[in-house]
Amino acid sequence: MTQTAAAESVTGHDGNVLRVDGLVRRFGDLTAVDGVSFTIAQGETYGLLGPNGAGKTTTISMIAGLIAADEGTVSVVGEAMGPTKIGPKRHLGLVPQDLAIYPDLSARENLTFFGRLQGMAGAELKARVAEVLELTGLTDRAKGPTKDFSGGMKRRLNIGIGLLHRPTLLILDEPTVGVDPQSRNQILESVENLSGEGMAVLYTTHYMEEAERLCDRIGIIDSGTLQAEGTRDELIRLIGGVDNIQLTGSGDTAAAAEAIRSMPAVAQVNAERGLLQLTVHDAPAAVASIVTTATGSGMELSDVQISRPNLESVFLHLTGKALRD
Amino acid sequence: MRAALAIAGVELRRFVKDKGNVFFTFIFPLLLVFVLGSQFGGSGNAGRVTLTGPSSDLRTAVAEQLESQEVSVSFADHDAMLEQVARGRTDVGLVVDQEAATSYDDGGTAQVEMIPGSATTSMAAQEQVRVAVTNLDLHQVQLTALEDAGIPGSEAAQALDDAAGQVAEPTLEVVNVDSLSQEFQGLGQFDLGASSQLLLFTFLTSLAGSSTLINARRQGVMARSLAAPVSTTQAVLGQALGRWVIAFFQGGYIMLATWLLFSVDWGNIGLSLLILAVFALVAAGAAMVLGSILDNEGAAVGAGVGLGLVLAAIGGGMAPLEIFSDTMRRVAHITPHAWGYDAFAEVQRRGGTLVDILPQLGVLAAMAAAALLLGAWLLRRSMARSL
Amino acid sequence: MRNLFTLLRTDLVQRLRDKSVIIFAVIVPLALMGAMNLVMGDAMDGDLETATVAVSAPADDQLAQTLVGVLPEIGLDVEITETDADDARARAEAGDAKLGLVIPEGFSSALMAGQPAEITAIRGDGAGIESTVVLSVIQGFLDRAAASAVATTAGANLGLAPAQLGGLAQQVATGESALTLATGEASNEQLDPKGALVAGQAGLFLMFTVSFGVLGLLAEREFGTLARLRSMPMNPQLVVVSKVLSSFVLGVVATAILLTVGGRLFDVDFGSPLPIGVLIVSAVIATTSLTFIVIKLAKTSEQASIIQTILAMVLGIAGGAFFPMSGGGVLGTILDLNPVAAMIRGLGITSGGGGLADILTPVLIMLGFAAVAMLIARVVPDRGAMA
Repeated sequence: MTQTAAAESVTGHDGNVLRVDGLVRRFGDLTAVDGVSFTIAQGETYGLLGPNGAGKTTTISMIAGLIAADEGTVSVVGEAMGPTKIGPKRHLGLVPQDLAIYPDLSARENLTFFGRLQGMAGAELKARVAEVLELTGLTDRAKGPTKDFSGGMKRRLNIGIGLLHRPTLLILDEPTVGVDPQSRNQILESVENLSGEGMAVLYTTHYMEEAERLCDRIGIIDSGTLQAEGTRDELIRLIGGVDNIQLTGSGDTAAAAEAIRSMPAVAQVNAERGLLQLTVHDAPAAVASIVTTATGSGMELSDVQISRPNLESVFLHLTGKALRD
Repeated sequence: MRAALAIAGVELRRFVKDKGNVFFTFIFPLLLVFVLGSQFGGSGNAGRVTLTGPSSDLRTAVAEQLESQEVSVSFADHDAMLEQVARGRTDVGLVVDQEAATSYDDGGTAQVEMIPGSATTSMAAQEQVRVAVTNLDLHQVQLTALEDAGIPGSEAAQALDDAAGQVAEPTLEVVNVDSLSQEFQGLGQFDLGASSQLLLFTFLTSLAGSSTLINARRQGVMARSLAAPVSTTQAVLGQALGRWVIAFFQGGYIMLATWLLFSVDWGNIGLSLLILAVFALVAAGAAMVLGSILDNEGAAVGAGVGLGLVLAAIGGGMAPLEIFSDTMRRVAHITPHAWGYDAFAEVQRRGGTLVDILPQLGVLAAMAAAALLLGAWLLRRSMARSL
Repeated sequence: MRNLFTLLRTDLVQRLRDKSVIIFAVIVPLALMGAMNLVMGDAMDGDLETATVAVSAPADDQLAQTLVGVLPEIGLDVEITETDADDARARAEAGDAKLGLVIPEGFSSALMAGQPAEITAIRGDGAGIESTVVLSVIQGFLDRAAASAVATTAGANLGLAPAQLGGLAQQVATGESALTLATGEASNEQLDPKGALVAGQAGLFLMFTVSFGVLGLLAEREFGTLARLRSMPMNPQLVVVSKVLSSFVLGVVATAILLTVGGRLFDVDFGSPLPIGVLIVSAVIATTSLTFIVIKLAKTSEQASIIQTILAMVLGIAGGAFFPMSGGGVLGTILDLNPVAAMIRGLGITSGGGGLADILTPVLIMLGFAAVAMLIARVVPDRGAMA
């Protein structure tokens, strides 16, 4: 697909801040990303949902111009992106999964340094740094070296640096991994605020709740490919509104799984030790016979849970695997 | 006690696994002993003179005269000689050019040019050259004198030969009461370097190794071992034991390797090992002190290396204590190195017994006790920091 | 350009806040210089002292008195004390005289009669070059005296009259040799021992200092900031360039400080600033280029700093950081190619008054070293620390 690069608005010819087309990236024999394509519109929050090892971070790295793609293109605000491209990087803000802050410098110094590299200077830079410190609640701790910060504070600074230069598209790579619930909530709230202000956000995660809460559209990614894409409701409708039933117990779970798999109401069975996860059509109606089949096959049930359809079930349906490891 | 030994065992294992340690602990000290020995241990001579000029009778005569005075003679072309003199690679350059050679062959007088080096050590070689020039071909002077007295040449030559057999030459006997050379008399080429490097390196490695202590604190390993049913005392004891084992191990290795490779004579092995053991205790304590007060591994290595080198320099690790002035020699004894040096000297050179080295051992033991106690106390306090 | 400056500034700020840089770059070398000067300062002072000679010579002995009379003329400051044999010995042993000389009664007559005659010289406690020089003069004198005795005996055997014998003896004893000696001059390219110490330490620790800049690349990877920097709207190569520049700045500043402060403390004049500046810059370029090889060879930043330390110690010591290293032939050439040795050699030239043209060879050596090192760094496979 060809697009004329000239005379493009902020959103580019087609109104997208990001366009990813057929991205492929290999590491030796491993193909980490195998043909990923999607777009993000202005002000949209797009989630990349997938388990660890799905290829999220590699995709992000190519989008942010950290590494080159083996095949495919990335264009940010209509400009082609690559490791040596300078222009498109001005529109991006990156919040990497691993903290990217200098421990011997203070929060203010970290922000000022990266702000300068982004092309900001003088009074404007100073004012914006103060603003971001306020935003991240770090104004009181602006002076000391960041190595003395708590984990949550470091994460907040990490995000602050990403949005310092008011990027058109903010990329957050699993920002809540290993974070305490309180800080996590703060982060999620900040992201909500940002999208409220009109910033486009690319948010990768393996937490379904976050994707559901924050994202306008979600791309489900696994093994390097985009399995499905759409709004939350679209995705759930994709699997036909199936429900989730979880059976916990001991005994012959394998036999139970086999027996249940052949039941017409059951769409998919995922068996683990002592745990059966089922996607079914209309769980309340099917649950009784499922329980009977399970116990009849030699499984001793200790717990039965029915859950409404959510992205977890979508993922399970699409890939046969659980979202969480 | 088992817990302490276990902790010490882990320390030793970690130490040996670190590849950098292999070079610094095992190879580098030997390298230094070898370098020191070959640079300074060689037998001295009366100086180095470089002769230039075409090959001639005169040049040969001059070379032989100088060599008879125990001067080391080499040959080079003019520019090379100038460079050698300028850079101090030879003491004196001597130009015996064609003109001088021809003049000499014809029986006339010849002039040679001496180019002295700027170092004061070249003075001795300069004097040797002057003497050589003055006494060159004394035989010719004798012949001339006899001829002047009316004796024909051939008769004169014969008479001189006969007379030489009859006359006893006067001798110069040099007695050396220089305490320095007396002290070092009988030492092997590498002996001196070996004992001072032993002290330098075991201490240095111990101090630099304090970084593993910090690393352990930082990575929470320390906290983990405290969570085990291990008393703080045992944990601290384990650390001290670990440090000591490493220092002793390295020292023992150096003793063995220098004995095998350079024929270094360590005297009474038992006593030498005893000195090493006590010195290693001091090193262990110092390492614990350093590892407890610093929090940054990089700073610990820097401070450790710096302190280790400076203490060694002051304490006789780089130059023999014997050449220190009296005041400096007293100052040197604030370091454990000086006491270790004295003890080794006693055992290596004078075949001392346990009684002879008791004072040095006593001081070292006292230093060790102080360092270990301080280190243990600081480590205990720092463990609270690591949690 | 602006971005490069921003990167450089932040790199330098971080390096300076990391205390280990300041420790290794300035504090440890100055402390070492201080310690070594304190300890060996006197021994390194090159000036010649007065050669104090305590002589016991029989007053009526002609030869003995001649010898005593000759000694003050040799161009060294000689102080003669005439005393008796026991006292001469005692003074030497006590170190009051550098040399004790005992010429026995009847020396001349024994010599003339062809009987054995011996002069005893006692090298005193702390005797040095000065006594060596005096001894060589005495030996030369004795050789003359022996030649004279032989000639006289030959003359007597041939039947010359006693009156003639006297003249003969005199002629041989004082006869001019066929050779005369003129003294020329070579340029002084050698640092005196103190200067060599300051320059050597500066060179050794320079290798540590420059490593901090380039190893900072590995630190970026560990901090995670390398990824962020790559996402910045700037040429990603600037990151490497800024690290090289910060190595450069640190190296030049540290070495300049060490040479200035060291020179002042130990009273060493290294010469004119411009050529010294060129030498420092060349040395920094050479040592920084080595770090690129290290980064490729290392798998972790810890490994990198170990490899760097090893290289620094080997090159530093081989270059003469602690004691002068010299060798002839092939070994000498290899030693010369070491950038630390080249820098010290260059400083020797400038301290002797040399200018830009004179330091061409060492500068070319250092720059050539840098070129080769960069080539090797290109070719060596990346073992992953920088991946």
